Amino acid sequence: MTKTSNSEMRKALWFTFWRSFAANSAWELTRQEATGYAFSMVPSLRVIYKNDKNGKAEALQRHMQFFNITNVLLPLVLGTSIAMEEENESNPEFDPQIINNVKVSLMGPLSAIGDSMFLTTWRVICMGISLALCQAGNILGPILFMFSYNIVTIAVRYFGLQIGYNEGTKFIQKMSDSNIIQNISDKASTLGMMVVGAMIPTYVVLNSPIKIGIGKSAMTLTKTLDQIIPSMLPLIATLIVLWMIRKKWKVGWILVTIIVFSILGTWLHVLSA
Amino acid sequence: MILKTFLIGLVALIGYSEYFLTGASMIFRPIALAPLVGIVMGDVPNAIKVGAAMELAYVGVVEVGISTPQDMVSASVLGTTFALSTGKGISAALTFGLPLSMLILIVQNVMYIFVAPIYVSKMDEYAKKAEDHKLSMMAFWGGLVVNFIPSVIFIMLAFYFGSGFSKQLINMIPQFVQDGLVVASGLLPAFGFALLIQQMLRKDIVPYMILGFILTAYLKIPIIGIAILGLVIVMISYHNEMKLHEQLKSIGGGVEDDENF
Repeated sequence: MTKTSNSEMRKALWFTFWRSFAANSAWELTRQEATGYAFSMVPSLRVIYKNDKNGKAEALQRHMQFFNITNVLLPLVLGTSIAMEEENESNPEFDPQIINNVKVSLMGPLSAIGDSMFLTTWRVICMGISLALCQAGNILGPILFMFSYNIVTIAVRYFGLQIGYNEGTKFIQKMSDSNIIQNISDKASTLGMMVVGAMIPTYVVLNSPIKIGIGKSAMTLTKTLDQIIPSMLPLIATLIVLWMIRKKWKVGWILVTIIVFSILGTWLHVLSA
Repeated sequence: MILKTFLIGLVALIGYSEYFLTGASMIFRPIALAPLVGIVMGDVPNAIKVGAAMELAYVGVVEVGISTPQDMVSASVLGTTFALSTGKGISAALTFGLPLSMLILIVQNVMYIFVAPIYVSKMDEYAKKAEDHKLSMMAFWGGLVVNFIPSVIFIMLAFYFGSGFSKQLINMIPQFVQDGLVVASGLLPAFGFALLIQQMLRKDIVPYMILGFILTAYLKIPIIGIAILGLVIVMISYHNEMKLHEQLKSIGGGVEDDENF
């Protein structure tokens, strides 16, 4: 790692970091994030293949191959590619095919972890902690949501690129060998499950104005059920929808069922918000 | 009105920057976009409330892999504008936001299928000639113009022409349907949470969901408290696992390294 002066490469990494934010601009159906990957690689490839036009052309074509990943983890993979492109330029024995093989092998597992950790768990936790403020119409709510979500993801992007570049595939190899990624992902799911469970009674709203009993002792169905388990109707509703999902109902049908059920129930005066 | 339409277009563009500039920053979620619409419409507090209700209704909409189940930007922007302009809140947000965002999704898919391959093949050409500057321009501007500008224009048109008669239109809808949509907005989070549960579902973590449910249903602990408690539980179990691992190592040494962490 002596062929490029360090400050030049640091600058290129900095530009790659910023470009990774725009990587989904030219997303496309057949090759997906390939365009964004090549786009993000450009500043680094410019430095690595400064005097080698053919090498640069080959590298650009290499990174125009199919790729897709949770955007937050994109810089981590970019880092490994940059390190390997450097190796490729300095070492004639190096087989450039490895660069894409590594990308492909990282794509699946990292996406699965990234989606569950950031798009699901962390987003929902951030939403949960800022929603009460939002429901009161407080501008701090949306600000808290954006701030808490992004401070974590931007840190992951920045350190991901650094780790990917400095440690290269060794680090990721070590991580996957030691199951640490799987372990982090498991812990994130645990936390996410708990938060989602806690949100059901708070944010799923379903009541029934049907009266049970006669005269003064009459109570609404909601109140009766709540004496057994609080928020029982929201829980039942969530479990029924979960059952529909597990029975592989189409998303559109579930949506239509919910809306029709709500309107019919309101019309028959058995449901209320 | 022209100025407002222009500003709504700008808000929509900020929403789409989720893809082309801000790197999956969640700016496209209703919770973040509604306040911006509120600034344009001159009613920020109510916009934030509508945004919160929409965020819950769409909580399960996650872009996993290649599937885009819904165009969140148009659902958020148009939902908020019509919720505010009709004064009907979340039921108007769903009535107008859902069908219009599905229309926009069709527009986007047409662009993806028929136009997007053009800039990709251009980029292939530039890659072959090592013209990295042209390639970069095409990746950023090509994507922006093809994938997002049409949707922004569609949102502006829907706002410009829709604001006038959205009030009459929603008054033609019977009251029980409007009330039913309010009920549906309370039920849609159940759909979202069910989708999230399905994604994370494993037998051994179901008890944690029940724990979360009980803590709020019976004890009314706020979500932030639940999140902190969850973190504590995760930390404790992590340390216990580490300890167990150490013990196993010290006893037998027969434990293969790749089975542990």
